[in-house]
Parts: sequence; structure tokens; C-alpha cells
Amino acid sequence: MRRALAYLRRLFQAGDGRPMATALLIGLVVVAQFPERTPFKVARLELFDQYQSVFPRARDSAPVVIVDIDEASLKEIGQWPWPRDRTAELIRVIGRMNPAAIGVDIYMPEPDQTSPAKMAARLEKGQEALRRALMALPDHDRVLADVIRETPTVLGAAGFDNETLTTSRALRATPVRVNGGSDADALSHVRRYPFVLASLPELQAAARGQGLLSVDLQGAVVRRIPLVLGVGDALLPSLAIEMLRIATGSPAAEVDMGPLGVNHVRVADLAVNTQSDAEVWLHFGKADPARYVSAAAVLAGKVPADTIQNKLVLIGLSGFGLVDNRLTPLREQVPGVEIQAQLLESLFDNDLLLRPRWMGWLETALLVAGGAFLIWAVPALRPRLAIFLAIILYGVLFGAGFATFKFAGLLLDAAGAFASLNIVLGSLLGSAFIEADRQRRVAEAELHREREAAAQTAGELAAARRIQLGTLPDPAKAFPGETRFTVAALLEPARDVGGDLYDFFMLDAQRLFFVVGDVSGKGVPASLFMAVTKALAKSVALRGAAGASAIVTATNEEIARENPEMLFVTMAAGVLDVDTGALELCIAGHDAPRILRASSPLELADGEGGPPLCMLDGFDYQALGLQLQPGDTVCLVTDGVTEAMNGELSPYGAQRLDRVLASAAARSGAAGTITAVREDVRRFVAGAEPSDDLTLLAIQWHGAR
Amino acid sequence: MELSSTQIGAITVVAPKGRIDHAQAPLFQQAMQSHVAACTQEGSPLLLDFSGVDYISSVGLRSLMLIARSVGAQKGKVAIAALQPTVREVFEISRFHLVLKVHDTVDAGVAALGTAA
Repeated sequence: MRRALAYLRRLFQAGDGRPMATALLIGLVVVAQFPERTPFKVARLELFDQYQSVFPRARDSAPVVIVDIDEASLKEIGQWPWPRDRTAELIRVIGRMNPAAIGVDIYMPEPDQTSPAKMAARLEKGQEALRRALMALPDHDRVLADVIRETPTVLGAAGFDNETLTTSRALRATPVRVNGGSDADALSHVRRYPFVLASLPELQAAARGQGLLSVDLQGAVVRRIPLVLGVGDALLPSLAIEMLRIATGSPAAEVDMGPLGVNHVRVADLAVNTQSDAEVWLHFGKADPARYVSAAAVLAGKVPADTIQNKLVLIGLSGFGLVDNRLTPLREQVPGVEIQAQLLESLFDNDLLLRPRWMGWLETALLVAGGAFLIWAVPALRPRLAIFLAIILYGVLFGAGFATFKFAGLLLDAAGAFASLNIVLGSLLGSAFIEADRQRRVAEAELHREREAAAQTAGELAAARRIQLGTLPDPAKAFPGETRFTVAALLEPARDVGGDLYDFFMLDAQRLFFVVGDVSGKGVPASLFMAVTKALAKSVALRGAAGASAIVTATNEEIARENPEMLFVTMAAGVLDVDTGALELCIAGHDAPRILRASSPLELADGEGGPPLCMLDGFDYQALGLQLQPGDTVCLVTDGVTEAMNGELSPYGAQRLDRVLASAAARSGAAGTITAVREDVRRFVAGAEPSDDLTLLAIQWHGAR
Repeated sequence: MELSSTQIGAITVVAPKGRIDHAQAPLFQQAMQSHVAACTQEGSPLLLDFSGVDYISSVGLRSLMLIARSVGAQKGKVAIAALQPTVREVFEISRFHLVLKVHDTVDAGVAALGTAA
């Protein structure tokens, strides 16, 4: 399962999803070549119905009248079926008003049970007089046949696929002539029934013509109606065609055959373009009561003659419970007779729909073009733009469908193309999604790796910081039991590791060496240089260099020897004789040490000094000699103190430092000095990020005790 | 890094502007490169007019040191003039006058470099 999914994902991922989408498109093009089997057939028919709903057929001329055996007629005349002399009377009245043709949408396969002879047969014995009287009356079916013979009447019949008691194998009708092909050729294309339900042979013989009323439903909806059908080996007209034939006095309806089936159905000078099976797509108009007159009104003589005169008259049923209503594409329930009326109107106004064979090719071409466009566009553009373009494409497609319907009466299947293109689009977007998902995973993995690396670096830096701070001596533990002086120190790197340093140790029993330094630059390079400097200074000092100036001068030479990065370091170093209070200070480009005298104000111990170490090779640094009194404190700082910035980027400054060193708190011993300065700097920067390392070293001499 | 240069006689006067701190120092050094390269024994002496520089950090000092060393190596002459008080203070603390000759004004610097030539 997992492997199958992975395989599918690879299929969709390959080539931005284009190969997959192309394969789908090819498959869909193949499917589109079988319009009756495609899964999109329902959508196609639904769209065709929508075309009709948006642009229903206008009832231009009204060549058809339905004489409707409606509820009112049943109330007036009585239950259906009527005695056939009543039907005969109805046809006679209509016939008197000179219709163009009368189509009877009623099947009469059995003899009328109400004919006088039938009634006589049912009489009891001893009613001979009545029997004779009845037998003298004309037979209803004969009466009807006589009327039919005198009027331009066309009887309706229905094709059946299965034999029943009332069906037969032949219909007495005028065969349709075939042009450009054989009858067998035509029969092989049209809807063909083996059996037919027709009226009594007597009635058939009397009628001018007969036509078929059969209509196949698509779903529950009537969309296509055959104009010519087959019954057995006979090619027969539909009722509507037959009525037009009778109305025009033509000898026969005709079909024109083409290589792919029926091209046209002709009656007189009317030639109707049909589908290859001689069916037409009916363009429906809205159901309209104006098409109907009540049979009762006709029988009562209440219908003016010009309602019927020269009209195609259909006699049919609409009475409740008598007929199954049919659903039109406009989603209206209408009796079957209305569909025949609408077909006649459409034929008369030449307002039929067509779905020519080349329409399928056009749709295929549209599908290929649209699909190719999507396959090009979607991977090339941002998804939002691609979807926007697809919507425009669909708009054009459906717009073309409606326009083709409206202006040419052609049925373009935009729905099939839409559904197919959506599948292609879905595949492409799926591929894009899979790719986006992959990239997201890659990005997440990358982020994870970066975090791990950062964590590792941070861990290493933290370790480096511990090591660096660990190399600094702890003032509290450095001189156990020492009473002559006190040392306090503080070093706060701005980053994990810093470039500041301090150190102090005894050169011998009475000389204390101390140093504060600041390497130019920050971070790891500065911290390494700091470690080197501190170690060198210590090694030089312990080697026995005599005095501060000698130590600094020697250290400068040592460091300058191996300094590829051209870093430099400022330094203030001192040697204090802790027995006598004699102090030597040597300054290498560093802030001057401050001497906090118990007896006098603050004193800057500047002296001549020299430039930072590594600036000038072989420079001879000079020291400054001082004498401390018991209680005096020497304070050394780096520029992390004087240049500590607050939020407004103004520096702490030497003046502020001097002021706090003059305060009582700063004069309360070495530790007090450090704390006072640190607190004052902290107050000044007020939480601003430190930009430089901060180092403080204070040494208070208590005198020789 | 904003850097204007003018020629006063044989001497190239280069005037950087702004702060030469951790971020700006590499740019300053880069901008100075061509001037430093031209400052040889036979070439034009270089005078840095620092009247437009209001801050210099230790990294900036390192850049000046490198310039001084490069020029020294090719036996050229370089000096600095017209320091602002903050910069002057940094120079004093670090004894930078020992590395780079400092003049009070550009005119003084030009004159000194001119006579020395």
C-alpha cells in the first residue's frame, strides 16, 4: 500500500505533473469518442437542457391546434373511451372547418364495445324487437371509418419491441422513399420496431395516412424525436411528418442518405436536417394553454372556424388519469400530444436543434487545445493565476456553448470538455500540491538541520565561554590568607566569548603583577587572540622580566611575531610591591588606570605608555612609577565600560566613570568599587544590548600588615 | 562608506564620513584600497581628512594601522588630520600618534607632507 502510494506520488511528481496530465488528457480524448458511453453523458444532457431553459423556442407562428379531450370534455360527454360515434362526431365537426390535416393521438386497436351490434349481442332472449332495432343502427367503427375517409385524417400508431395481444407486424401506411441509398441502408440507421400497435384495419384502410408516435425517453426527459422509423422491413413516417405530407398533398416523405446515415428528411419542399438516425433534437418552447381547445367546446360548436381552418389539428387526451405526462427539457410536465404539437411547430418554423457529426470533432479539438493550454500554463504559473486562467477558459467554453445554441441552433457539449479539463486541472494541481508539500518537507528538514547546527554551535560556544572564563583567576581564591591587598574583578563578554582579558598573580613573595587587556574585534577570533596574549604575558612575566615596562615590551615582541590577522590588543599592566606600596604601571594604548586615594580625589595614572601591542614592532614601552598609601585602590577598566551604549546610542563616558569612582560606595573596598561601577553602567544602558566586552579590575592595597 | 578625495598639489586628501565602527571598518578599508595602492615612494602622499568622522572603534583603528603598515611597506607617506574631539580622545588613549602622524588641520597636514617630499 505504502509502496503503491509512493509510486503514485512519483508518477504525479515527474516533469511537474505534465506527463501524468498528458496521459489523462489522451485517455479522456479517447473516452470522448464514445459519446453514449462517456461518464459525462448526464452532464451533457443536463447542459443541453440548460441551453433550452435559457433560450426556449419562441412560438412564432401557431400552425397547430390541439383538440383536447380534457376534464371538461369528460364531464360533458362522459367517461373515456367514448363511444366511437362521439369520436366520429368530433372529427366530423373539425373536418367541416377545413383543417390542413387531423392527427389522431389515440390508439383504437379493438372494436368499440358500445357499437349497437355489440349491445344487441348482450340482450336477454325475448328482446327481439330491441335487438332488431339495434342491429339496424350503424356500427360505430364504421361511422368513424366513414368520417375518417372524408377528412384529412392521420392515425397514430406506436412501435413495440415486444409482441402483445393487440400488436401486429405491419402498418398500412405510405412508405418513406429513400434517396441516395437502399431501404435496408436507411432501416439500418433508424429506430426500428418489430411490432406495432395500430388501430382497427377498417380504420387504417379509411385513413389518408398513418404515422408513428413512438418516442424514446432519455432518463425521464423527452429530448430527441424520430421523424422516420422502421416497422419490420417498412420505413415509415412519424405522425408529424405524415400530417405534413397530407397537409401538403405530397405523394411520400423522403429521406436523403449520406455515407454516415440519414442526412435529411423531406416532405414537399421542407428538408429537415436530422441526426444520422433520422431523429431531431426538439427545441422546446414553454407549455402554452393557447395551443389547446377543449373537445367539448368543438362539439358544442363554440369554436370559431378560423381556429381550425388550415391548421394542423391534433386530437389527444389530457384528462387526469388518462395519460402519462412527459417531462420536457424545460422541466415542464406536458401530455404527449403537446410534444407532437411542439414538433410540428418546430418543423413548420424550421427551428430544430442539431448536433452534427463534426461537433464531436470540434469538442475533441477544444478538449485537446484546452488541455494543452492547462498542461502548459499550470506548472508554469503560480497556482492562483493558473486557476484564474482555467476559470476564464471554462467561461469561454460555456459561453461558446450558449452562443452556438442561440445563434446556430447547434448543440455544443461544453460540459464534457469542462469535466475532462477539470480532471486534467485536478491532476496538475495535485502534482503542484505534492511538489509544494515536498518542498515544505525539505524546508522543514533544512530548518531542523540548521537548528541542530545552531544548537551545536551554541553548545560549543558555551563550552568555549566556560573555558575562557575558567582561564581567568578567581580573586576570592587566588590569594588565600592574604592581608596586604584585596583584588576584585569582573569580565562580561558581549557575546558568548570575548576579547577582553584580566589576570593577576604574584611574581615573587612581594610583587603582584596585574593586567587588563582588550583585543580589537569580537567573537571567536578575538577570544583566541585574548587567550594567546594572556598566556604570553604570563609566560613573559614569570620568565623574570624586570618590571612592568619590560614585561609589556617583551609581550609586544612575542605577540607581534605570530599575528596573521593583524589584530592588536590594548593593555594596562602593573606591578605592585605589596609590602611597600610602590606601583609601576605600563599603558599600551589603553584607558588610563584610576587611582582611588583615601586622602585625595581621583587620580588618572596615565604616563607616557605606548601604542597597543602589535602596532609597532620593537616599541620600547615606558612605565610610570607611583606610591600607594594604605587604603588606596587601583581600578582598571576596558572600553566596554566607557563606551557602553544606552538605547539612544550615547556612550557611558569617562566622566560618568570618574564620578561613580569618586562616590563613597566605590571607595568601600575593591569589591565595592567593582559593584558600584557595574551597577552604574547597568542603570545607564537600561537593558540595551551590550556591544562590547566589559572588564573591571580593582586592587586595594591595605599596607604591609 | 562615503569617501571623497581631492588632490592638493601632489597630495591626495581623502575624507571619509560618519562612524568607522565594526560594520563600517571593512568598507572603509575597501574604499581606501586604491588610494593606499597609489601611495608609494614615487606616488602621491596620502592625507586622511577626518573632520567628517565622529566615531572610531578599535576595529577602525586596526584599519588605520593596516593602512599605515601598507604605506610604510611601500615607503609611501601617510598622515591624518583634523580629528574631532571624540576621535582625538581615542587617539590619545591608544597613543595612535605613534602609529600615524596626526596634524591639527588639513592645511597643516598638506604642508607637512609637502615639505617632507
